[in-house]
Formats: sequence, C-alpha cells, structure tokens
Amino acid sequence: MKTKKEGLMYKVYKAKWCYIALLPSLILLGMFKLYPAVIGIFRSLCSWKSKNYFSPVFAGLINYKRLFTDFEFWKSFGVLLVFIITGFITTFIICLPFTYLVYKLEGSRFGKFFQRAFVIPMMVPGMVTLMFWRFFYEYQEGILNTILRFIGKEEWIHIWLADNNLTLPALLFIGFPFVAGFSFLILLSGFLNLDASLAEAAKLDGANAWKRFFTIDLPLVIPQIKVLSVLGMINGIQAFNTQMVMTDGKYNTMVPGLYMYQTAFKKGNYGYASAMSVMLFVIILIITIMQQKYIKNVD
Amino acid sequence: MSNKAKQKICKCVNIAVLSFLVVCTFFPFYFMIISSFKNNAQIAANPFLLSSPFRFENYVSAFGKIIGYMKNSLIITGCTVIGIVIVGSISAYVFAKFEFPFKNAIYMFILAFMMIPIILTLIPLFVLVNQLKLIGSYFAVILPDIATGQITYIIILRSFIEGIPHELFESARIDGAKHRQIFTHIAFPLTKATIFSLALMAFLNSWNDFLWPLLTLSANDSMKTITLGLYSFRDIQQIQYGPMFAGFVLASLPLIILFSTNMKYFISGITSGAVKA
Repeated sequence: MKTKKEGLMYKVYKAKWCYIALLPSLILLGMFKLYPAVIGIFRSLCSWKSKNYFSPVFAGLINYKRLFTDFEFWKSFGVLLVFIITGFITTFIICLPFTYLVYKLEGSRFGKFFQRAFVIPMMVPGMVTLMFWRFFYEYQEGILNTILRFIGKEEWIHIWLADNNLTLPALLFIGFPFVAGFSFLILLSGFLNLDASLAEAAKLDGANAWKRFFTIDLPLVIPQIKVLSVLGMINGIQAFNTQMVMTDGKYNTMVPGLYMYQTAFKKGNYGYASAMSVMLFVIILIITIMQQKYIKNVD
Repeated sequence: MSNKAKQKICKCVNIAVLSFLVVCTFFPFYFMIISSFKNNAQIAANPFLLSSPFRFENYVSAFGKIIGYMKNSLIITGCTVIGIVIVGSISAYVFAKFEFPFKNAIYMFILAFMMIPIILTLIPLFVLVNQLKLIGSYFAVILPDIATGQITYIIILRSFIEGIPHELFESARIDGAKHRQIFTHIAFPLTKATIFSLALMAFLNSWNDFLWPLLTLSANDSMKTITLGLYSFRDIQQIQYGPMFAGFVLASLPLIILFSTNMKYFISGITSGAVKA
C-alpha cells in the first residue's frame, strides 16, 4: 500500500513539468470560468441588489420562488422558442437544400464561385449586419418602407420596430435569405466529404435526383445536422444581441437572456438575475445531456 | 441524348436559383457601399442606385470616428488570439504527447467548461473584473476571452497532434531533441494549418464580441471596441447616414481582407474542427 502511494507521488513528481505547463490554462479557467460559475450559483440564493452590492445576504430559495411566478420570464421563453424554431427552419429547410444545390455544382467554375459567395458574408461583423437591418426597418428612410412607397402600397407601411404584432416577425426575417454563413459552411463540408462512388452506384441503379438526395446524400450529413442542432440550441438560448440592438426587448421580443441582463445591469437586482442565469444553465445542461443520449442511440 | 439535355436544363435552373440568392445575400452590402457615397438627400431621392456627386468626405469623417475603435479592437483581438495560441498550444501538446497521473481527470475538467454557458458567469465575472479594478482596461476583455477561447482550441489541436505518426517524435527524441525543439520543429509545422484556422476563428469571435465589451469598456469612449462604436451610432439623433455606412464598410474591411486571403485555411479548419469537437 505504502509503496503504491509513493509510486504515485513519484510519478507526479517526475511529471511535474507537465503540470507546470498546464498551469496557465488551469489558472485562467479557474479564475475566469470556475470561480464565477460557483459564485453565480451561490449568489442566486442571496438577496443581492445594487444597494447591498458588496454585502449579499443569504436568502434561500426566495429568488427561485419569485422566478417561477414571474410571468414576464416565462413569456420570454415562449418568444425564445419562436426564435429557436425559426432558426431550425431556416437552417434545415432553407439553408440545407440550397447548400446541396451548391454542392451539386462542385467541380465547375460556378461551384467555386457560389461556395465563396456564401462564405464571405460570415466575415462581415455581426453588428454591421444588425445595424443594416435596423436601417432596413427604419420608418422614414428605411428600405422596406421605401420599397412599399415605390410600389404604391402606402397602406402597408408600418413602424416595423415598434409594433406589438409586427416586430417579432420583422426580427425573425433578419438574415434573409438565410443561406450564407456558418451553417452553410458546415453542411457544405459534410456534402463535400460524401463518397462519390455511392452516388455513382445510385445513378447506375436508376435512382432519380429526389430519391438520391433523401436516401443517400442526406443520411450522410447527419453528423453535421447533429452538430448544428446542438449548437443552434445552446447558442440560441443564450443569444440576445439581435433583440438588444433592435428593440431592447420591447414589443413582445423579450428573450430570457436579455431579461436576465436587464434585471442585473439596468434594474440592479443581481441576485434575482443570477437565479435566472442558473435556470438557463440548468435548461442548457438538460438539453445537452438529452441530445448526447439521443445521439448515441441514433448511432 | 434527351437525358443529357435534361441534365443541362437542371444545371441552368440550379445556377439561376443560386444566382438569385447571391443577389439577395449581397444586397445589404451593395446598399451600404452605394449609400456610403451619398448624403441623406441623395439616399432619400435615389436609394438603390449610385448618384453623383460622390461624397468621399463621408469616408474621411467616418475614418476619423472609427480609427480609435479600430485600434482598441486590434489590440484586444490581437492579444486574445496570441494568448490563446500560446497557452492553448502548450496545453494541447502536453495532453497529446505525455502520460502523467490524473491526465484524463484534468482533461475532463477542462472539457466540462464547454458546458458552462457564458450567461451563467456573466454577472459574477463582471463583479470579479470590477474587484480586480480591470473595468475600462483591455485586460478586462483579453483575459476572460483567452480563458474561454482556449477550450475548443486545446480539444481540436490535441486531436491533430495525436494524429501525427508517433515515429516522427521518437526519431527526434533519439536524435536528442528537447521537447521545446520537438514542438517547434515537428508538432508546430505539421499542425500549422490547423493552428492558423483556429486562430482565425478566435479572431472572428473576439472581433465580433459585443456584450462583454459593452459591460466592461463602454463607460469611456476612448476604450470602445469597433462593435461598441458601431452600436453607438444607434443613439445619435439627426443621423447622417452616409458617414454611418462608410463607417460600416471600413469596419468590415479588416475581417474581409484577412479572411479572403486565407479562405482555404479557414474553410478547412473550421469544418474539420466543428465536426471533431
């Protein structure tokens, strides 16, 4: 027993340079990830507002009790669901088929052109894109209303970003035509890795283009579809740049992340906001675990 | 023969559809570029076409406004990327090429941080950075960004270094090379493309980051990053759209230049990375 323990200590001592080399990584993680996460969970159990910023008081589950009856919070989940479902539709029903069409042109000069054309928009800063869409919906000079005036549909003109019914659809439309970007890149790489011999065999068997797409090509990009659906879910729950830049969460566009942000940094109720972030973390964790399990089953 | 003709028609339809989508995708950029040469009256009178006179002075005034933001973003993004590459490469190499007690436990520990969303740490991290008196300094953004960015970097680079044939390392060690030399002469050259594309990815993330700089750097206008600078156009009343769009074009240029010239690295790196991770 003793020798075994010494053996381990000796091994640790011998490998000391490994641990020292890992130290920068671990210190950074401990300081800027682990410590805030632990503190965040603990502070969600505290009464912690801007007036007692330096002295949070332990308060048990009060924040969580309040959260469960907070209509605004759960309503924002409904809005979030709309955003996430729209994201899935644009990715898998719009982006995926068109990516396939681009893949079909692989080898011709058009193929290269389209591949690059749909990747380049990724490099435009997200803030530029959002600010463009703000201008697009602008009331006076905005592009949408200008077009409507031009085609003589004055009655369709609206204040697009300040309307309880129309603002949410307007935000969902951002990114039209939804082809270019990260999903395109991932799906394209999946298609490009396809085994060409399989497609040839199918062609010889006389399968038509539809059948080939659904029975041969589509199943082979399932890994990419999984990656994108996991990322879409996890990133979707946390994302609120769009809502913040366009409407500040007004006009029925509030999402949980933005609600948390405003509760903490606008209203100064840090403890309550921490409870929200813990809740979002738990939801993300459950989704991740479920997806991991489901993915293993499918494989 | 008729089958061939049918295929040709299919291809033409395909190209036509995709061309239409490219036009839609690039319309915003077209609009921003032409508008950047106009004043408000010209935008209102003739929104979708170029109209003379070209107002190049828009770019002069936008450049004056944006250059400070650009400098801040370049410093923050540059330091973040360099930090991730240095810290991440060392850790990835250690995990890939050494055996030591608790290796898997430590690796799983790092991996577990992928599960912790930014949203959970946002408030306490702000408090921490505030206590460290880092609010309003570049380090407030750089250090947390390195801590977060290194995780995927380590995971992906480790798998690439492990993919290098073992014999290469063995022969180098027999020749008496030190680990530092093995890293700089074998591991680094062979994974250069991966490191490069991961660095580009980190660059993109850091350049586009909005929320965290908003919390930590927005109090002082001279510290704002480019995303914050663009965001502040939002609140200006009586806005001059021409210089605003000129600013958007200027803000997009560094990324477009950087990535267009390295497109091949970028595409191969991001795709292999995403599927492995």
